[in-house]
Amino acid sequence: MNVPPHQPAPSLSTLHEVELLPPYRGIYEKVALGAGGPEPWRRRKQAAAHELLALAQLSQRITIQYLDLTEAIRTVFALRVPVPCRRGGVGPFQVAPMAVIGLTYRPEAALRPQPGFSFAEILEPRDVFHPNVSPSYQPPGAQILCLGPKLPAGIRMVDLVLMIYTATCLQDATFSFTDSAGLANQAAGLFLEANPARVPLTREPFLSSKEVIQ
Amino acid sequence: MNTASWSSSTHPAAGWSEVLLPEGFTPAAGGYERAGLRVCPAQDWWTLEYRPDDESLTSQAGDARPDRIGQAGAWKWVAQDRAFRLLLALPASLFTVETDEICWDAGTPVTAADALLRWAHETAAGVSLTGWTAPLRKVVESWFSREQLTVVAGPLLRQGEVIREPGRLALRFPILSQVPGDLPPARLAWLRALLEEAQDRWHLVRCGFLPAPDGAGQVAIAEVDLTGVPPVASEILFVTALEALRGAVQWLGEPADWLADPNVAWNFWLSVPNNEPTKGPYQMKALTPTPEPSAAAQVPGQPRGGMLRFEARDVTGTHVLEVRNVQRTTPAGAVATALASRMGLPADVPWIIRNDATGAVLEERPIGDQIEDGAKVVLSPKAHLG
Amino acid sequence: MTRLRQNSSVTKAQTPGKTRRAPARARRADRLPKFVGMNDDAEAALDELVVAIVGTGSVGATVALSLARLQVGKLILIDRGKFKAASLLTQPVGPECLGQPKASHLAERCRAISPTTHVEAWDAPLEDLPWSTLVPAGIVVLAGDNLSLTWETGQRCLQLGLPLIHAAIHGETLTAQCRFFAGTEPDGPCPVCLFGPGEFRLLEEERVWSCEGQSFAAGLPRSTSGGRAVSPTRSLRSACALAGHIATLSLVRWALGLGAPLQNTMTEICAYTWRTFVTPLRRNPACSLPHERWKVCASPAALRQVTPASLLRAAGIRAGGAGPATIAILGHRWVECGLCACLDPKPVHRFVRNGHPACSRCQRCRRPLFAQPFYSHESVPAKLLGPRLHEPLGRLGAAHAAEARVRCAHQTVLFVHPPAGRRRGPHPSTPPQSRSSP
Repeated sequence: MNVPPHQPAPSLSTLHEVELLPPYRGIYEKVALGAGGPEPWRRRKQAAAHELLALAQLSQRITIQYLDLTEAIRTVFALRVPVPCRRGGVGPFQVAPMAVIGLTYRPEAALRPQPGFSFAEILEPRDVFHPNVSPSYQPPGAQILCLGPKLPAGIRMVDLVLMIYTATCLQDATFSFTDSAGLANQAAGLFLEANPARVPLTREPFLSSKEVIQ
Repeated sequence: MNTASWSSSTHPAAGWSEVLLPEGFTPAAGGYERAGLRVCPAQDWWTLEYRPDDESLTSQAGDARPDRIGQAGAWKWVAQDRAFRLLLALPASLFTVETDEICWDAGTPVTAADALLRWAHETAAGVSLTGWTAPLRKVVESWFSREQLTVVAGPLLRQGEVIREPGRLALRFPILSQVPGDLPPARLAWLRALLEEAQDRWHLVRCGFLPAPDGAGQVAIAEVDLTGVPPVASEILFVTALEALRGAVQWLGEPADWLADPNVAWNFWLSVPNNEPTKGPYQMKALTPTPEPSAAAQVPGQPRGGMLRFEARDVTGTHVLEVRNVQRTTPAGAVATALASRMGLPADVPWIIRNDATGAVLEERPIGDQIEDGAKVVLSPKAHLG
Repeated sequence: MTRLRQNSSVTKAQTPGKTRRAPARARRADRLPKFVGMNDDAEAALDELVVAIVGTGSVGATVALSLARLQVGKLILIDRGKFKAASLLTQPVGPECLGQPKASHLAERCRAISPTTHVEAWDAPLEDLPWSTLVPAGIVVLAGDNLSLTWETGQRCLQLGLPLIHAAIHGETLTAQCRFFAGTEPDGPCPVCLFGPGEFRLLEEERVWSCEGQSFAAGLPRSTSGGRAVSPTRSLRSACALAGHIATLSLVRWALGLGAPLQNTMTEICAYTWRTFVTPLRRNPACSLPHERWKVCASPAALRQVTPASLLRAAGIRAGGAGPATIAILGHRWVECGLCACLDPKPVHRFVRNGHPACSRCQRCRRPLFAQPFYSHESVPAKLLGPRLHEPLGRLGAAHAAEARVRCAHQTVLFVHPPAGRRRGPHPSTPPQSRSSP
């Protein structure tokens, strides 16, 4: 086999080694300076921010719109992912091409297991119809995406982004009514159970090797 | 953390013929074939078999099972249809048509599937893997957590290792760190049969014997060798191999311990195992119970390199064990858990080891760094509840 | 017919027209020994002692009652549980207490034993209590039934610089363990320093959530719910009492400076063998808890009258300066945006009390406005407050605030109003700890 000696191409486990190019480098330097809290937590946040920006640099699927490390890690990003929607829960079923996600990573998530609903909120579109997303048409109206009953301590931000992708497009979604974790939107679960052909909304992986080249 | 789990695809990106026919494979019974390499695609695992034209490289019915322990690549001899076949099983999800940017052949990018098949062919045929280097150690260490190298299952405790050299990448776990030199031939045959069954049962895992590091006797090991693996598949295969090894070690550990324990007296051992390949689950029936742990005899002998021997008792003084052949690199916490299980102590509380001479509590690092050979230790519970 | 003897000490009927004499009050001096090696006034030391006891079950109740008999200055009892039938098997209580909150019931008993001891009872989980609850304490005794409580207590004691005695029992081996964490230095050990893979596994088992019906009442998904006991502590009353008494004696030795210092040691006794070990405790460099020390200060005024900018100044941070600073009003969240039936987020920019779902009403649809979780902050970056840095907290929705926490890169300051009482420090013979309480 002709294998020239070289470094492996970037993969999701080596994002920390990716050299950030401008403007990502500029974003990183600005937010890293603003990281607050004890030293280990600050370093962890800075590393997570680096990986997130590296992911955005490598992949055209995600665009970082906001990133703050002052207390918790808070980021808003646009994610190119099919999103199931249904206005008011009763309109025609539609698929939006993109979502804007608000992701919060609190200090305790680095130390202790956390519930799956404590990380991600779908900010746009506003009429998501998904079994694991609390509906906007019922109070309190926040579209919280539940990533599972319990997520392990120290889960990586990048892994959360990937879980958000696979959960949103229903590649990895729970709508089994026998699941002890329960459903955030029962009506959506019933609808998809009755329409299995719609699941998943896409089979595309998050990151293709073509994107890695770029 | 295994980031590969994010991929949701449960099927290869392309159909099987689309992947294999352009690579020069031709349809054959049960699959596709090229230059002695037969590929049988399936939903979860693809099975590869190597049947070279040179008959001298194959095993015939009635031959002893050839040994590939320590050889590059994950091929192994498996008993099927009254003969031994050289097989390799690989996860189906690896066989995609996405271009592997790492592998180039005369300026042409090759697909992941092709890279894997070439690796399989070259390692089966014994072709020298020039130009391949193992991934950096820190890259490899990012694929797993240290705790995964320690298998603790009840009283079973085994510490595995990653063998990473510029020209080698492998995972290895001890099954028996010391095969007694005076083990009766019948028992040794049963032990060999046990290892062979594990090799037949677990994908990727090879089992066998190696000379002991200190040259005295031999050790029984389970390994997966990933030398030469294409980078595109290295992480997935490494993680898969580690899980397979952990399963195999748990499956093998206790029966292997019984077979090698001179204190276990079974009339069953008087007959050697049938050379017919076993069918169905391996069953062992104890005809006499094992002796009480507290009555374990003192085992004379010099400490073996890398192994530790000490006396352990629980905090109540009820159970006393003469503990032998604990790898020095095993974390003290794992040793405590295994000892507690061996002594039948409650499993719902963590246990600590205390050096009886100094009263010091051993920390969560290799036990060999904290106690000497022949030490006496006490197992205490870590009470947290009031 | 059996007549009660006169002057019976068991029961005395009251003669009509005569007032009953008050029962004789016990004087501690009547029974307090003159401890070997102690020259100072033990009584004064005990009078000033303020002890917080987290967990008033079989072990904690033993400690509380023993300290009440020592007529210490103050006891703060914390337990969220109530007595069940099984409590009678291991706890020093009678059938009359069944169904009652543990902390309150025990407080009553302590007051009855020692009317001079000020006793506070909190029938609530520790994580729901204000930080100022523990500030007055000179030492904390932990006797909980779950590892989450151990984590929470350890964290608070680290942050407030409080010594911590952790008493525990393992019933199956009759092993009592008492760990004394000095708390004087942030680099000293804490309970979580001792956590290994076994503890983290148990910690994970303790916490259970569901995706269904999660509470957004506070405008933010509640992720900080405490742990629960996976299984009850199985032990004998005597063994629990042993652990409790070891803790009590350790505390008394610390308070009075008796014998060799016990700080940062673990004492273990097994009733099978009566072997006793005293083992040093060391800081784990990889401890999951941040070993940071807070500074506790009195708020310059009632918090509702104070502005965020003045809090930053009092904490030594220049408002608008470089460097990240955050403000948290305990029991509140800063809400940037709210959601209503209009579906579009509306600006709110106020502090909202936890547990209050609606922060105001939408001017368009007149429906309640709920805090949008992503735009709700438990600890808000100062830069997000903008011009509101200079508005009093009362006008920003925190009229009931009693505590505020300001954090910058190098320090965390807890502001309390009214100021917490001065707490009793260790005996002068032990190394002095740095205190910044007023």
